[in-house]
Amino acid sequence: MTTYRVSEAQALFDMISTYCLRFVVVAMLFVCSCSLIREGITYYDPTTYKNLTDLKPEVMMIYESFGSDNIDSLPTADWVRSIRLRLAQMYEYERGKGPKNKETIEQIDKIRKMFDRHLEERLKEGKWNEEHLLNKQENISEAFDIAIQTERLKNRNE
Amino acid sequence: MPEPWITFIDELKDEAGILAKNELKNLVSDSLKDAEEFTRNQAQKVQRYLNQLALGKITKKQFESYMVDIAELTRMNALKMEVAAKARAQRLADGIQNIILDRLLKLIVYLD
Repeated sequence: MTTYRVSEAQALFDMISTYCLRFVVVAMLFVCSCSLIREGITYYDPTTYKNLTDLKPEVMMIYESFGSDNIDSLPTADWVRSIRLRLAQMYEYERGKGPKNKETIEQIDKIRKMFDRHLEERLKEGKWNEEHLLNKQENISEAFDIAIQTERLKNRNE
Repeated sequence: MPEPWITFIDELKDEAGILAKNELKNLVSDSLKDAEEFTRNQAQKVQRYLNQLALGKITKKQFESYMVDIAELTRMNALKMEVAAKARAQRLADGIQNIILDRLLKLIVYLD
């Protein structure tokens, strides 16, 4: 009889400890995830995705002209100006979403600065040869891809 | 037959010992075997650029510009990984709120 009571108490104790343990694990997961997202993150934005995927092929095309055309004369000069304007607009759009969007803001800023740096090099050093053109195209394309993939990683606000 | 860039590095005169040649070779070969696909891709590019430099297909300035590109891409990729971690945490926090706190615990009270 006594043995029965002891095992019953043991079972009750085991059940309570299992529930407590589960509660502690859930609470810890909650606290961990809260601390990770304390700074916050914006949701997926189809406009950001469209801006990036629209501009990427255009930038690829203008890089092709860096191997042949004079970029400081019309019409390429106008085209360059229009791309720089769109990059600046994209940056302002992302910045407008606030600090929760800091990763995308920095990524767009890096794309913008990479484009400006490549453009400056092109103006200083003249037409690009085939190897250089392909290398530069690959890098700017990868920069866009990383930003596009980043946007796709964000959760949808459903 | 070694890659052109390895011969190029080995033949560089470096009396002042500015470049640790083996360190550079190890950096490239270790990165080529890295678990991360991004790192492996960047290492392949560095190797290709070094070969192009060794064969005179690109200039020193162009090579330098590629290294800046890779540094920027690496930072962008780190930002992508931060977003991935935050998005996972956001899904977990939302799941705990919506599934466990709002639904499961209500069900347990109902069972009581």
